[in-house]
Amino acid sequence: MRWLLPFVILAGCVTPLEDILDPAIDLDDVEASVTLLDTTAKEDMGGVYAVEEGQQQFGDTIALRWNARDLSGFGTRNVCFLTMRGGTRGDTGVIEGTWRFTTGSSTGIIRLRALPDEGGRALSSGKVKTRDIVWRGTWSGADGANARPLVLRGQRALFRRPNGFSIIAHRGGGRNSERYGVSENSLEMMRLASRLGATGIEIDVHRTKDDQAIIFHDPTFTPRTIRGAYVLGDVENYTLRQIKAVARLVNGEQIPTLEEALRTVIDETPLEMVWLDIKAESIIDSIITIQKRLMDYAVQQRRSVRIYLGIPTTEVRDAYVASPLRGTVPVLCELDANSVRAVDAAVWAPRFTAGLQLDVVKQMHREQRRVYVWTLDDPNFMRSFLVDGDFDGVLTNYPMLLAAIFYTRSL
Amino acid sequence: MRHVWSMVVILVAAVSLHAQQTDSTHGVDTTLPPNVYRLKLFISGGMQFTLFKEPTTTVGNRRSFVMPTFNVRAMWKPEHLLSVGLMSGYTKLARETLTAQDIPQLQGDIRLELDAIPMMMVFAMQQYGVEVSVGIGAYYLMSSSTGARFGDTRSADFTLGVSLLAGYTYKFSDRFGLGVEAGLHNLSSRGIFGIAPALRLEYDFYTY
Repeated sequence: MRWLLPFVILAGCVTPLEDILDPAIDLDDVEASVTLLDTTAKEDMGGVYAVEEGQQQFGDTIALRWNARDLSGFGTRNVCFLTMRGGTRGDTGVIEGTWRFTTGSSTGIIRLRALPDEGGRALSSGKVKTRDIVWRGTWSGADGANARPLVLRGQRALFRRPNGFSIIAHRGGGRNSERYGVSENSLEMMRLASRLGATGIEIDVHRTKDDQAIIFHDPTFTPRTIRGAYVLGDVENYTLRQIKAVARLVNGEQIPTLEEALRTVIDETPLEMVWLDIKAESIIDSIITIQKRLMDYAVQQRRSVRIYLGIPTTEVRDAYVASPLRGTVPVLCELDANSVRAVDAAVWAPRFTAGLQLDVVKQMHREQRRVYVWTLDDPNFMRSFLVDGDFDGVLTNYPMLLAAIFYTRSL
Repeated sequence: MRHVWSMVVILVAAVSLHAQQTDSTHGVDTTLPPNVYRLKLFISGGMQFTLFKEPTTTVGNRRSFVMPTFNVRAMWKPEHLLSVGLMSGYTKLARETLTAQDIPQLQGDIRLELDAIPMMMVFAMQQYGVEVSVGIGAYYLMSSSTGARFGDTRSADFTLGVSLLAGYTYKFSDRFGLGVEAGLHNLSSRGIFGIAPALRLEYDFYTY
């Protein structure tokens, strides 16, 4: 009987995760209290900043980059990201917002100012360069207490790759395990993705019992993804109406349809790319129809959003090849190079475990195809694949880490 | 929940320690000759108080239900304190009805039910009619939703679970006994916990 004790102890000793506090700052209030910067000033202000004070907390460098209304900051230490808003008050630059370590539950508030002769005046005149700005202020805990000094000194512009580069966030922006307060593959996560450093997202497409396309990763409903005691088992056991009525994601959101997801990306985010990871080849025609319709909608809205039909398996490939709608939408293929050519994919997406594959990537580029690699989460691999590889994008669970490493590369 | 499991640990440790300190003649049914093995069947039935860590639906606050339960255990008892066996049964964990007031999209009532069938290996220690058992294994969960405007859905999944049972049986004949038992059932990955007092029938169906 003694040997049973470990089982019993184990069953009772699951340590609950620490709660993540909500920082006591309202970004809308910050935005309302300043004169907003124009697009050029935002572009010029973004860049690589050396952390002169606060290095123990945020590391040596932070990349600052504007995304529509938000100023995002990305650092490698503890996979940190900053979400701020700002502008000017007179001749002083103002940025305030939150910081969060993805590795853990630490979060808090940042308040920074650029004094008139340290870039503030240049900001308010709209003629500013990154290296002219020094942001001085404080960082603190979520309640604003224990404020400590933080100084960011502008160094240089953000690294850019001549042919462009996609930072692609997994599952719409991040996984449930990252605890951003919004669920993976939810509309709320897609709205958050650009703040996390993503320029594109990957979302998973499943089907319901009545052949509707929904955004959901797993084939079954489990406590990992769903709230509600009665929702369990195969996703395909439920109609869309039932799912909308009784199923909620772990943070309370509805499960979106494919149409809702693409419309949200086009209307409510600055994202430039969507990778549809098809989990249900039986409804591929319906998915392609929705994809085409929303691509046309994006054009009408003057939004430049590339939407790729993702082919992860041979079953999906075969279903696509057999579809009467084949060739009508851009395709991303994860399989071998021959399959890429068979479906005339615009993008080849190999696993990172296959290595840099420089020759194959070069050949793909000659054929006018882009190459995205997945899924890179380790910073050393990220550096290696960015520096030694020739990829056009990387799929990651940590877009803020990839953004920090990418943007702070030397020009 | 941690306090409950701390008590469980202490209880199991106490029984374990007592069993180790017991010499080979204690707890052995001395009415039978040595090297006797028995196969026993336990049938228990009662009501289970089930507690959910989170509300069962996203629109309501309901977290607890009192529903019928029964279980069946087939145990192999050698000439020893320890016995081992298999347990199954049936418990209705939850049942409720949502209306259009709860969820506007419903446009009618929907009846929701959640049932569980345990499938466990059970280890037990018994002495003087008192038995403490620990079951480790799976629960087969079955959910159903029924609504005129919604259509019916049946779905199922497995989940891991642990059960602790403690009871006393009074043997009123060579083969039969009647007793009471209390069960604690924990489906921790689903946030479901149950307490089930029950009556039980014990039947020695084979001795060799």
